[in-house]
Amino acid sequence: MSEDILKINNLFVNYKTRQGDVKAVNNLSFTLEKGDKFGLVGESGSGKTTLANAILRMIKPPGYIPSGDIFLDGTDVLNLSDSDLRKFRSTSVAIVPQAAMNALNPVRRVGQQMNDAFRDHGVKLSKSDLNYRLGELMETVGLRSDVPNLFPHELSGGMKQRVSIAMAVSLNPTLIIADEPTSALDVVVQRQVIDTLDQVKEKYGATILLVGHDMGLMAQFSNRLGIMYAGELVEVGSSDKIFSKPNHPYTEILISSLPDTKTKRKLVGIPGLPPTLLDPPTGCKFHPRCPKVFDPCSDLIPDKEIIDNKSFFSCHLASKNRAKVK
Amino acid sequence: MTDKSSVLLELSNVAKVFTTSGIFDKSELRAVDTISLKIEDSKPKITALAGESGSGKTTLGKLILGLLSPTEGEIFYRSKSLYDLNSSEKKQYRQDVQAIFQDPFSVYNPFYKVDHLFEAPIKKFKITKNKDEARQLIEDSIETVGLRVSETLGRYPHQLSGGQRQRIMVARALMVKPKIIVADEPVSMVDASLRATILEALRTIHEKENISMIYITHDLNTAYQIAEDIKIMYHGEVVEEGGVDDVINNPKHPYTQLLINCIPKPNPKEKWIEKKKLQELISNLDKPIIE
Repeated sequence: MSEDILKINNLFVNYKTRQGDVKAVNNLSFTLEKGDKFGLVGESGSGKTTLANAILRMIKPPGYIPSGDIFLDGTDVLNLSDSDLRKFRSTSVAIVPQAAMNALNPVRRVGQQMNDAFRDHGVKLSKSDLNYRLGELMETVGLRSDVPNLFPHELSGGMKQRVSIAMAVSLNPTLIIADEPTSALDVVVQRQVIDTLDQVKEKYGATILLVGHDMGLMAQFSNRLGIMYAGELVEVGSSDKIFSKPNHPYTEILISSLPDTKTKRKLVGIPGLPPTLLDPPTGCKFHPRCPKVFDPCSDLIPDKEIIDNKSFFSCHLASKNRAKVK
Repeated sequence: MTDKSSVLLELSNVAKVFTTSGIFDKSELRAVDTISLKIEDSKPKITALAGESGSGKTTLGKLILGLLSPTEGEIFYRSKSLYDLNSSEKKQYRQDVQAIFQDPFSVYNPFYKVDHLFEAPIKKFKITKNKDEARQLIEDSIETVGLRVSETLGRYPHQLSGGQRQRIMVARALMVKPKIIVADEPVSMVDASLRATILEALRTIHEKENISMIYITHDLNTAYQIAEDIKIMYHGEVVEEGGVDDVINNPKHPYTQLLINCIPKPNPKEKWIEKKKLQELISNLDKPIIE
């Protein structure tokens, strides 16, 4: 039996605006198992970064969490006291941010910044121990051992991203959230950064939640996938299954619209625009753009169709197909 | 041999050198290192320029657009050097060579409605005779890129999504009836679900209006889908060029091989090459990759 590391139950995250609440994450539940490499995919505005921030409890006003539970390794994240929360971040969950160039302090050397995190979490290291630990971390992420003595501006984009990975793993967290860590990088460097994440996962046994919109990258990296649309998870399952046989029409178009280098064909995108979450469509939120839309889609919210305890999707087609079989 | 008159734009041994001078040191960066290229009038093509950031592909795009002037070599427009064009020829060149940029957010002036973006070139190039004709032309080009007129005209840029804005840029470039469009990473800042739509719009106008295109990208997947020819740039040089099928299925230069092997294939069953092989490919390069 593998154990559940992260459990999210019926989570809502709203942003207050003058026109009313924007439901960025809407009644979302899923679990991550220890050692999972979970890919969270969605368009911009689908709420994937909001979800990632909620796990770290980094939702700032005007955002708030009206209801829901987040359990990480048994800890009730949403009810942590401020001082416990401070300890919880970095030791239980760490983030590799999208823009590593903005995440590093420009006036402190890399090593000093990393030591700040150690000290803040009560890890006092002598100079030689610190050097040893930093050296080890740099080796894991494939950087030269002199990098801790450098300032962020002396590093390239890929190196900075690897420094932030090293920072994320420095306190050995259970869960690492990587929020589009490679979207600013070239393909070759992207490949190297993803390899680094893999390596770190192997070495420290962490669970990884990779947030992004590049399905190609997800196919290469993750073992499980979650597809987000308009604040909801519309499909969750193993990457192999989702890519070979997607159940939700949105997943299906998302995969078929990917250009590849095998066959030249007409490129078909997803028609229409993502819905505004201030006033989302009734029924299934994807129905205005869905090519397979039929009667109940515009009125009824589809139920979750459970495939097994790790996979589900939400679409009316499921019940239609069942009716056909009968 | 190609007939000289059919060559629309020609770059002959063009180089662009950026110098940074400090108090004590002076350094040179050859962003574009002696490249020649021809765009013919009779055979419109989509040519992809691919490479990593810093390889000089955007600089080359700007040279073609006339936004930068070359340090070495010369650029010819209808076999006349860009330096020798008189004002009406210069205007014609500006009309014939249009740009679509990467960032659909910063190209707009937030104080003007999108209409302004279409009306300005019509006035400048005197494309239409009267207002009704102008309106018709604007509406036609908006529809060509798959947008609805009622949802675009009369709005301010902030009321439109990134995908809509980028398609409006395509519509604007198309409207002035250019001969060449330089599209610099037109889809890299747009969502995956909208990329296909924009690329398809580019392909349609290339086929319908016989416009040549320079498609600048770092994404070989999209380059393969829409381009006929491809040039791989590396440290300012074109290291490999040819038809996309040849180059992508049978890459010769080690850098091209590296690039192709690093494309994340959208299929979990086709994994990337092993790390060892990747290291081997990287060590085959004579110049380091820009990390």
